[in-house]
Amino acid sequence: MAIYSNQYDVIVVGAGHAGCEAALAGARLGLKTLVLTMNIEVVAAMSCNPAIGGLGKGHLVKEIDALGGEMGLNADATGIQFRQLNTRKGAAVQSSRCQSDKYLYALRMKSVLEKQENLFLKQQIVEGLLIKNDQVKGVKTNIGETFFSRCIIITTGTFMNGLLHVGTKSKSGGRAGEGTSGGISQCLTSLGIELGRFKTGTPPRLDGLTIDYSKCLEQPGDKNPTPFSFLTKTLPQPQVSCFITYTNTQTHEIIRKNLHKSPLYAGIIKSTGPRYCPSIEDKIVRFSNRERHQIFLEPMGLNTTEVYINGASTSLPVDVQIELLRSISGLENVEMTRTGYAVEYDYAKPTQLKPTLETKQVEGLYLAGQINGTSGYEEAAAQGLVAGINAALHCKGKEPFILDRSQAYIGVLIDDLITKGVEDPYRMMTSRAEYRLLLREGNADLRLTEKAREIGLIRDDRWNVFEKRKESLDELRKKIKETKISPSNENILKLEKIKTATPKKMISLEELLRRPEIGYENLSLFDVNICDGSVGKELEIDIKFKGYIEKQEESIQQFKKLESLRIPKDFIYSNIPGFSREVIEKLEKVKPASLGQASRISGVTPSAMTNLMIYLKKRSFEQRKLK
Amino acid sequence: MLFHLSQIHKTDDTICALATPIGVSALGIVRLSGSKALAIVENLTKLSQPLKSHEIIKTTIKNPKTKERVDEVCLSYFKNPKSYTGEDMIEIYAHGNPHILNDILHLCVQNGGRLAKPGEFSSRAFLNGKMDLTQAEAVSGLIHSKSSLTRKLAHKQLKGEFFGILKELKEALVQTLSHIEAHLDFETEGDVKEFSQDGFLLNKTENLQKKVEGLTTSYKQNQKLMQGLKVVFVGKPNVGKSSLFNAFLNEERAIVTEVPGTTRDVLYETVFFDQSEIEILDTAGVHKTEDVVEKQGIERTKKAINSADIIFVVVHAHEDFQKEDHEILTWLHDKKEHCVLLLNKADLGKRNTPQIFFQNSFYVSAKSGEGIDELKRFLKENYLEKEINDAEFIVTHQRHYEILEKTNEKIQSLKEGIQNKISLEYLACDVSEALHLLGEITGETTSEEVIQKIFSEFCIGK
Repeated sequence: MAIYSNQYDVIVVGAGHAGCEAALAGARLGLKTLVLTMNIEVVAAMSCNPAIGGLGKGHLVKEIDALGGEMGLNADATGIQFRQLNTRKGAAVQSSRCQSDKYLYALRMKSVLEKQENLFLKQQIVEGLLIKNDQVKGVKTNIGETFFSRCIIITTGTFMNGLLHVGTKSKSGGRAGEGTSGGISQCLTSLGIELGRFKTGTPPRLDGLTIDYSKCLEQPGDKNPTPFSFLTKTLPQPQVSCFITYTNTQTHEIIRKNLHKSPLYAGIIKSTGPRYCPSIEDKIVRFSNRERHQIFLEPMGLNTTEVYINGASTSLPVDVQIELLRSISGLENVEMTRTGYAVEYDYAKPTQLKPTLETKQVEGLYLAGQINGTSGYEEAAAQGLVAGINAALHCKGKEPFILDRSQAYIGVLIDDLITKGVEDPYRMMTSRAEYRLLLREGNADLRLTEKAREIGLIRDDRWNVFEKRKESLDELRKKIKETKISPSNENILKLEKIKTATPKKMISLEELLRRPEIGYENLSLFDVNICDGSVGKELEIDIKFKGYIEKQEESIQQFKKLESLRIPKDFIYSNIPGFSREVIEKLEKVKPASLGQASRISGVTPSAMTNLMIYLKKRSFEQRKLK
Repeated sequence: MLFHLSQIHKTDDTICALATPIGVSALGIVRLSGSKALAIVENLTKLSQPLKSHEIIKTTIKNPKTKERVDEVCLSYFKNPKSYTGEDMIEIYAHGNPHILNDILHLCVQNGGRLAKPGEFSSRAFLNGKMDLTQAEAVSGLIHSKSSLTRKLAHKQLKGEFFGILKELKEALVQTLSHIEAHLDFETEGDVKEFSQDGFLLNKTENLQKKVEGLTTSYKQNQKLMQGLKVVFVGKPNVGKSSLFNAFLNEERAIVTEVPGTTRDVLYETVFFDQSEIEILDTAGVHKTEDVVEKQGIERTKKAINSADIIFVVVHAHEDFQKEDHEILTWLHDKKEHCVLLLNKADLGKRNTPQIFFQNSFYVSAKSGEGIDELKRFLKENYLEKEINDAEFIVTHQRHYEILEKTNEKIQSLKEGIQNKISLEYLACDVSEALHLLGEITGETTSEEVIQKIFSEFCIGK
């Protein structure tokens, strides 16, 4: 029975943060895209904290935006508190973060999907994948419907065999109050895709009216909030505050006393949880000498009094949750609206993926988001975007779109996943990016927008904004290089005003800007007026840290050299003498595309790398000789 | 990419080479390494029983085509991976006749082997993960070592001691880096305390610097010793330099005549002294001359003085310092502590008393042999018997020294960065680069060009 037209180019399974970006990218690249979701009421749901961005994650959002994705725009339109993080450190490690009205966020994203040409959104549960000769054909759903497509992108998050835990009780589900899907797990396994199992958790939600904020420290947003998107001019939502409080020894005592009731410590949960986002139980056990832990109270929206308690993720029984909450200053009389819980779920081991996020086993089958063992909305969205773009390019028969580690955090994210795999839910951090001095939030557009324009993802409005920004930066660069100032009386006065030494001879404004005490704003004294602060900042970083930046550029050259040494797809590692079985197994599992990728696989020894390098070079030399 | 492909060794064939020097000797060794080693040797020997690993057997090598006997030999077989290269290896111990050894090698090549390039056995050992680069370099160091000290150091390095030191340095750097990264990525979450201004990072950095500088200093201080000691004889004409030189060498090396100025050039000889190599230079006599050739000789003497580790200043024992002796002293001012006064011809009388200019002086006689043994003992005790305790390590390779110097620059830049309160992500760059550099020493981050260069310094057969 075919009620609907059942022929599509791309089918996206799931409408979370990965699914939305994947579907939008596909549709915006002109492909007929179908999104199937279990529950059409919860598109782009913020299942955990009501926030976008954070250290390293803000970079991802900026990059998604620079590539024509939706997350940045959606966060700007629905954000209720914006803050720049790490402002006392250098620009490369500063990140943007915002609190979102989670309801507005989901609503707006749903409406963007609905309005998008070529995009079809339907509520149906996918129960089976149709695969023939290791090629995608389509999906079967719970209502007996069959949809055909050339590509399928699976973005089912924590919903594959999801199991929710509160205390020692557990129940199947991908998110509190929702079901789970076992069908896809089964399908993937039958296709030979290896699954693993992870755990993650979420804190309780509180009734804000029962919090005594006078005992907490107010944390307002930035006075001049900066948006995520390069397109956003104004932030429409009213800005609100978060609050900070702390756990205390009494809280820790309660947790310790009840540790045996925690599913993790009682041995019910055996899978690994996120190392960099531990539950409060974990924190007490792992940092037993700490007397207190910071807790952030974050509003969940403008039209709700519900509050998210960041830093207190727990799966202890309900009575213990209340007891520990009420031991915290400001929360003595708090009412809990929803309990915290842990969720265990299946993920697919990401070393089985190509850099396009297509599975190596099945042509046209892509996996993106938490299903690949990541955590976080931003990590999910970034993968969704890459999978969506590549599925579309695949349908069009075009070259894949791959970002490498020197180009974007997105490149780092995907390379880490497919090369190193995941030991625990993967979270982005700036330290993962070896070229982070060059991968700043502020230059995400300069790094990426042209590339996205080439594949057709950048609309004219965004392109115009980009070109203007780039032009003004280039102009400024030229201008401050060429403008020289002499130690004239007039200039001496100006320089004294900005508390910097008078140069003995003529110097360029570029040289002046290199001084630590000089900011781009000071250049206005010499008639260089920079009205766009974001452009001024970029200019300043380029000049001030030229030495470090140049060094990173040099090491990128080295990196590219290794990346350019390609390893043939059908390469047989056991042919190389001197490789241990362990090394061969690791290389054969990942099937690295280049020598550079091979070098990042853990357990591949330096001598094996040298051996491989010599073997490859010799091979390409002999092949050239044959020609 | 600039790259000499012709230099890349093939790694999947079987190599063979002579492991002992060419020339008549009691024994000569041919070694083979590679998957075909066993097959090749079995073809040449027609053994009735298969070879067992790590056993020595006696057999006959015959030319498989002509059935002609080549030699009676002993064989040992080392099955992979328990061999020097990590591949199947066979060593053939034959009689040390160059023709026999050549024939054996020739037969190995005819039956599927390939003549090895210098260092190819060791480079295979490295590629097969049998040793890291510092160990491979130690093997080369051991072969070329010039003193008991350098041998001892090469053994230490071969045992992996240097690798261990580098590992410690790297661990300290990694710790520093993770400290920095934790502050960059987690400070805002309140789980990491505000970066301490108590000098923790500076302390750690200074400790690191001390360690790295200790290593570079050890190289600089002991470099002379590594390369062998250089001793120079200087003195006015006919003072007996060449006779002393000869007495030292126990042979008539320099031409000795009564005509002043016979030695017009710098003569040198390398001798083994208590298992250490020293180079001894005899120089032209120093006096005012119009002779162009002799003038050049004097210039060369000055050069030799500058490059010397020890300068033996020869004067007559039976007469006071002459004008020419004093002139020589003016050249030696900068090298005062390296000078030893030799009062020669002590058999003719001992009028000249030792001067304050010299810390050490000896009455010697080339003719009677007086004082020569004493002088040799002095050399040995003061210059050749540098003892190192087991905890001490001396960097012996210039490559290591250069990388350590660069590492030190990064650590210095890190230190300055901390002092100038530069933001942490820039400091992290310095630490990462220092780590990368240390990896170059062990071969973890070394480019193939470096590896090729290292193994090209080996001799054939190793």
